[in-house]
Amino acid sequence: MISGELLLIALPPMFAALSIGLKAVRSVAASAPVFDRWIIVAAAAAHLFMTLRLPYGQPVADALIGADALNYLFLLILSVLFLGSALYSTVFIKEMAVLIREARDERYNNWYVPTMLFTLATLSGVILSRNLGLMWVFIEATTLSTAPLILHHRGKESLEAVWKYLFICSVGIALAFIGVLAMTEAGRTIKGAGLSVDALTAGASAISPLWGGIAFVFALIGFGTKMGLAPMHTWLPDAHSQAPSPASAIFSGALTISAFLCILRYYQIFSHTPMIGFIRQLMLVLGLVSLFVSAVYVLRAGNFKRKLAYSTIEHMGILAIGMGLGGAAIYAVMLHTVCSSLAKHSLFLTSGNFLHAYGTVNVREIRSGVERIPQSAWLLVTGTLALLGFPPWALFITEFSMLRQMVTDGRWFVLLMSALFLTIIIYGFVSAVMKMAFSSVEPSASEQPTKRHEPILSTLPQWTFIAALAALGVHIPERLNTILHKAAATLGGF
Amino acid sequence: MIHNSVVVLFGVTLLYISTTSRLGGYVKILSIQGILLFLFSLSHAETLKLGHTLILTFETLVVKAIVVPVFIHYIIIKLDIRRVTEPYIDNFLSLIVATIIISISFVLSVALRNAGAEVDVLTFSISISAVVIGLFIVITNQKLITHVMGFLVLENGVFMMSLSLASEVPVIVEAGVLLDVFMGVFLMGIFLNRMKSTFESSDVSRLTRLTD
Repeated sequence: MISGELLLIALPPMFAALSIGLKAVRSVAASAPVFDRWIIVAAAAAHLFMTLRLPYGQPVADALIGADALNYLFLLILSVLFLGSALYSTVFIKEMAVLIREARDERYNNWYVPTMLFTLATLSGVILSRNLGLMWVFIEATTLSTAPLILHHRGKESLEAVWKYLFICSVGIALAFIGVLAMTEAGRTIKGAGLSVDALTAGASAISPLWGGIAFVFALIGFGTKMGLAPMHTWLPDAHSQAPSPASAIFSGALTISAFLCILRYYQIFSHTPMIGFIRQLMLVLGLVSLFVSAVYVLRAGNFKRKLAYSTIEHMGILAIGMGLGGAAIYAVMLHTVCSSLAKHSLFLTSGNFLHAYGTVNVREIRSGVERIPQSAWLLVTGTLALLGFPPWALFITEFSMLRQMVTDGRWFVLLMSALFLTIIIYGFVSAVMKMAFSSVEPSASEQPTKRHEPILSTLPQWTFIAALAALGVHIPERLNTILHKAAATLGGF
Repeated sequence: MIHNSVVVLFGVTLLYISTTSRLGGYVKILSIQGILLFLFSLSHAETLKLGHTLILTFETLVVKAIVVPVFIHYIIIKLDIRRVTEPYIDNFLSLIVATIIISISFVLSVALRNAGAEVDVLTFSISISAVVIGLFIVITNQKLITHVMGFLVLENGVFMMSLSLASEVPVIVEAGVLLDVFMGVFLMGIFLNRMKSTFESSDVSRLTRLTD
C-alpha cells in the first residue's frame, strides 16, 4: 500500500516520463506541444485531487514523510498554484509552438513540461518531509530541477542568471548542511531522535542551546538564500525575470515558501524553548533588511518582472518579521503565506501576457495597456492592489494584524521602519502599473493601439485567484481557518 | 596521532591556497586535499561499516583526489583559460586574512568547548576555516573556474565537519556527498557552454548584464 504522500511525490515524475517517452516515439513526436498540454494539466489536476483527499491528522511517529496542518497548508498552496500555472502553460506552449513555426530555426522546448513536473515533485518532497536531512536533500533537488527552466530562453542573460542561481544557492545549501550537522549534534541528548522533526520537537527542552543556536543560524542563512531573504537574495531577481512566466510564478509563489517551511521546521523545534527569543530577533532583523532592499530596488528596477521579484523579497521579509513577532502574528503569517503566494502568482502570469503582447516587460516601453490587452491590464491593476495590501483583499487583513501586533508589543522601531518601507514599495508599484495600464501612447509612435485577442486560459487562473483573495478578505472558510489555526499552533502561535 | 597530523596538513593546504596565484597550484591543492580527506575518513573507519567506508573511499580518493582535479585541469587547457587566478586583492593580504580566519575559528571552537559542547577543537576549527576560506576565495576572485574551486574548498570543509560530527550517522555524511552533484553541474556548465567564450572571458566581472 503506497501512502498518499509518496504518491504525491512519485506521480509527477511518471507524467514527466510519459512526456519524454512519447517524444521518443517518432510518429507522435511532431505533436509534442499538443500532448504536453494535456499531460501538464492532467498531472496538476491529479496532484490537486490527491492533495485534497490527503488526511493531515497526526502523522506516524518517526515517519520520513507525512502531512500535518503546517505542511498541508503549504502543499495546498503548491497544488493550487501549480494548477494555475499548468492551465496558463497550455496557452504558453501553444504560443511557443506558433513562434517556432514562424521562425524555423528555433526548436520546441521539449524539456519545459518534464522539468515543470520534476519541480512539482521535488517541491512536494520538501513540503512533505518530516526529517531535516531528507528535507535538505529535496531542497538540493529543487535547485537542480528548476535550473533548466531559467535557461529556457537560452540567451546570454539566461546563462548568467542560471549560473548565479545555481552558484549562490549551492553555497546556501552547503551552509544549510552545516545546520543539519549541528542539529545531529544538538539532538544527541534525545535518545533515538535522529533528525526527525517530531522527535526533536517533543524533546526540545533537552537540546543543548549552543548547538541548537548554531543549527538555527546556519539553517536560516542557508534556506534563507533559497527563500530570497536579503542580503542573500541576489540571485532571485535574475532567475525570476529569466524564467518563462508560468515557471517564475511557481518560483515566486511556491519555491520561496517551501524554503520558508524549512526554516519554520527549525523554528517549530525551538518554539517552546527559551531560545525562541533569540530566533525571533534574528528573523526580525533579516525581515527588516529584506524590506529595505526591496524598497530601494523596486523604485530602481525598470523591468516589471524584476519589480515583481523585489516584491517577492518584500513578502518574504514580511513573513520573517511576522515570525519574529510571534504570538498572534503567526496566524497572520500563515494567512499571509497563502494570500501573497496567490497574488504574486497572478501577477507573474499576467506579466507573461504583457511580454507576449509588447515583446518586453520594460515599464518604460509599455503604454495604454487597457486599450491593447484590456483584460490583462485590469488584472495587472487589481492584482497589484491585492498584492500591496489594499482592502478588500485579504493581504490587508494580514498586514494590518501584523502592524497591530507591533503596536501592542510596543515595537515602535519595527513599526516605523516597516511602514516606511511598505509605503515606498506601494508608491513604486502603483506609479509603474498606472503608467503601463492607463497612460496613452506617445504621439510619435507609429503603431496605433489595437486590441489583441486574449485566450481565456491566459487570464482565467489570475481572475480566479484575485477573486479568491477578495473572498478571503471578507470571510475565511471554516475548513481553511482550522488548518491555519492548527498550523500556527504547531509553531507556538495561536 | 595520524588523525591530528592529517588535520594539520589540511590546514597548511588552506594557507598555501591563499598564497598561490596559479590555477595549476589550486588544482594540485584540491587533489592533495582529497587524499588528506581520504586519510581522515580512514581514521573514522572503525565506527563505519564496510559499505559506508567503501562509499567514502570512492568519494574522497576517486572523486575528490583524481576525477575532479583532472577534469578541471582538462577544462583549463581545453578552453585555454589564462593560468593566473586574477584575484581582486593581492596574495599577501589574502594570506593574512586566511591566518586571521583560522585564528578566529580556533578561538570560537575553544569558546564552544568551554561552553560545554563536546567538540574536537582542532578538527572543528580547521573545517570551519576551510568553509570560510572557500567563501573568501569565491568572493575575491574574478574567474568562474576559481569560483568553482573555492566552492570545492568550502565543500571539503563541510565534508570534514560532517565526518567529525556525524560519523555515527553515515547516511548524513553520504547526503553531504550530494553537494558534489552541484560541482559536477558547474564544471559541465563551464565546459559545455564554453563559459569563456559566452561571457567573452570566463570571469565574473563580465557577469553584469543583469543589473538594476
